[in-house]
Amino acid sequence: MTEASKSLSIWFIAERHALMGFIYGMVRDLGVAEDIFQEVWIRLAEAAGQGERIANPAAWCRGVAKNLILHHWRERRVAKVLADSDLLDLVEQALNEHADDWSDRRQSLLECMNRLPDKARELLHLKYTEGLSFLQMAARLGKSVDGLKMALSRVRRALAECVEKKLQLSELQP
Amino acid sequence: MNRLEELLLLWEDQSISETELVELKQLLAEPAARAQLAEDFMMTGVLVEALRTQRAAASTDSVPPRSRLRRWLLWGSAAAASLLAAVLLTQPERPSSPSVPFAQVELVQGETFVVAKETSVPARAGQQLTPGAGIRTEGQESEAVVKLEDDIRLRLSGDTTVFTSADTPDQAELGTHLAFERGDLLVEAPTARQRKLTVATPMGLAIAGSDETAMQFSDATGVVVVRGTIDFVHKNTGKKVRIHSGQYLAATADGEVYAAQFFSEETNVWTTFPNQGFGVNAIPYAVTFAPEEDRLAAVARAGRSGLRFGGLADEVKQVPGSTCVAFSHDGKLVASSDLGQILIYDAVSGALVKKLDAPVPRMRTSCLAFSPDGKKLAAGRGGHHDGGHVELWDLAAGKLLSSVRGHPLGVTCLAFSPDGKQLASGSYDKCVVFWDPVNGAERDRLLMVPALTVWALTFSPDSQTLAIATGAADFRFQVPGIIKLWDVAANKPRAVLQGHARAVTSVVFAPDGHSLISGSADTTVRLWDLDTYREYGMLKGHKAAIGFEAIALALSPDGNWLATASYDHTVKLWKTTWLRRASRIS
Repeated sequence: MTEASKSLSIWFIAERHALMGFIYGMVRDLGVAEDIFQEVWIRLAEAAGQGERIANPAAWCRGVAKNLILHHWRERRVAKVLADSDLLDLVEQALNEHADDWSDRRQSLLECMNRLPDKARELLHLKYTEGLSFLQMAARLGKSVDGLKMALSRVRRALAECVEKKLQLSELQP
Repeated sequence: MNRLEELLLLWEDQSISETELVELKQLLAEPAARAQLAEDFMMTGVLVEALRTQRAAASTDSVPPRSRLRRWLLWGSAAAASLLAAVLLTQPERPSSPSVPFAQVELVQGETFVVAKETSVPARAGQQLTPGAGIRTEGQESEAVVKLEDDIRLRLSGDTTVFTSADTPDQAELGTHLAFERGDLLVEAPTARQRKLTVATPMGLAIAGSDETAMQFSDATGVVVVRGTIDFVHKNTGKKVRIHSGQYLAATADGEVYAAQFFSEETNVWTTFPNQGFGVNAIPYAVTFAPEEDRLAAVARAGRSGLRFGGLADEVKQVPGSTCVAFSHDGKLVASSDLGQILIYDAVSGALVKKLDAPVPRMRTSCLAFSPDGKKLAAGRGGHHDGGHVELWDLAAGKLLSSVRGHPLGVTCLAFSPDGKQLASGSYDKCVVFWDPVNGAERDRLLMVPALTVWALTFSPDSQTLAIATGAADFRFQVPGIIKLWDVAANKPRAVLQGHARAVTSVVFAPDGHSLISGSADTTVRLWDLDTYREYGMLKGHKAAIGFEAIALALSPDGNWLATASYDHTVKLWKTTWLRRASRIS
């Protein structure tokens, strides 16, 4: 393994969240997202191994992931409204424009997650681990879909605020 | 919630309409909206990974009545407890419709509670449960027996929760309905009944299909049929499978369910070796068979006083050493470490053969592996929060050939391929690195997806496949463990084996390379068919995790015996003739 491909792999491990967020956000299925993520990694390692110069690895990975997502949509015949390539382009553009990938905020987020009330954690678990739709969650929890949307939005906002506060505190410390 | 957030939620939920999609795209023409989207997606990326690895915490902590009750008891409100109990017990019982099961607590031991949606009160024998109420045991020593109508009996072991009747009248119409939440529950239905007994589990519905039925539900083993027959309907796919006595429910990664063979301790363990001669604190970490013999050659246990090892019939040798142990392939040498030094002992006499000093004094050694020809020794260094070094030693010369900080976090396991051409290391950093065993240079690096700690590595007998055992960094977490089979030549995954409820801690290939055996923190050993990549059997006998030092399983050279070492302080020897038969049936 060359020094270049080694440093590339270390970069990939550190900044994996942005790519996972992109893939999961587009395919909305954890199992599929992990398969695509793995495939991107393999292709990156191959390209690096063949001496390909990759100036912007994050953008390169998103480009590969984008093609794999399109392929997945075609192969699974995902409904047109849920497989919109224009939206995919816009999301890619958004992530290319905003390079901060949350890696440095990860630890803070974990700490904030541990402070969440049980119900909030259950909500995150049902949505992102079990992959339930709001309708399924509503049936399971005996709550309304709108109420659950609001609740999830509040949990996410609370987490974002908690992370922000932690970062501000750490900046204040000498 | 602003409009963009709302539309992103709809997109994420796959319930967005065409008009809303157009609106979303229009909004994203604005740079500020794209910035919000980027934040949103990145946070989701971190959340998904964090939840993947912290699932246990979420699932075990999300039981509001329990935590409330704890606080309440801690505050010493005994009077309040009595009052609440009285209120619950004097509630007028709902008229007993023929479809609502009647339940009565027959026996309680330890901390046992009757739970409803928002309440939890101590249970007592003779207490009647109102429809919809459940029962929960807390702590490993607790247990309870509940009798339902039609002589159905529920036997709860420690830390178990089950609800005794349907929540909705629709479900109740179908028959006696139970909801198993977690723990270890035996349901016995001895007599023929008009109405069906259905148990809802996290994976789907188990429906009693015969007169005499006994089924065991547990977090570690899923659904096991002890007597009779059940039909299982998968929650997501709706697929149905019939499971007979002595079988359990197995499932592929894409949700296909099937019956596999369950091997209990009673009929399949040849012998159990207790801690005799090793001291109460010594936990067995590693087992190995003597080559060309079916004799368990060495068992290594580490206690406070160092390393103890020896064959089971031999005198125990006590030497300086730690939990990090490796046996040479000819069974003649045992390697361990003490304060960073690597110590090589004669496996028979226990005499110190060689001492290798760490390049950096007191650097923790976490794992060791002998090369197949016995000429080299690989050592992995570093703990959960340290950098991970991989060292290669020339054993004859006692010389360090290479030392590379190849992992950002500590090394957990090492494996040489049988042909001696590959060395692989696994780490807390969720990566596997391939090394050149001649010069110690890095060849390749694999990232584990999903992000799980690599606990054990082993190459197939033909050196073509690397089995990678992964799981949560903490063995108490109920995060399913995964085994990845990596095609070494093509450098891509060959298959993913899923079934263990917790981290997979040890893996061995059968000598013919057609099956794989894995041990896990979920206390079970599973058997995998490598032609179909399916689980075909499960051994259940240990009461605690199969050890974490990657060599807690050993298969005898002829494949007739399997030894397992567990944190329950025992080593068990299993007859594998039955296992092979199960493979053929499967």
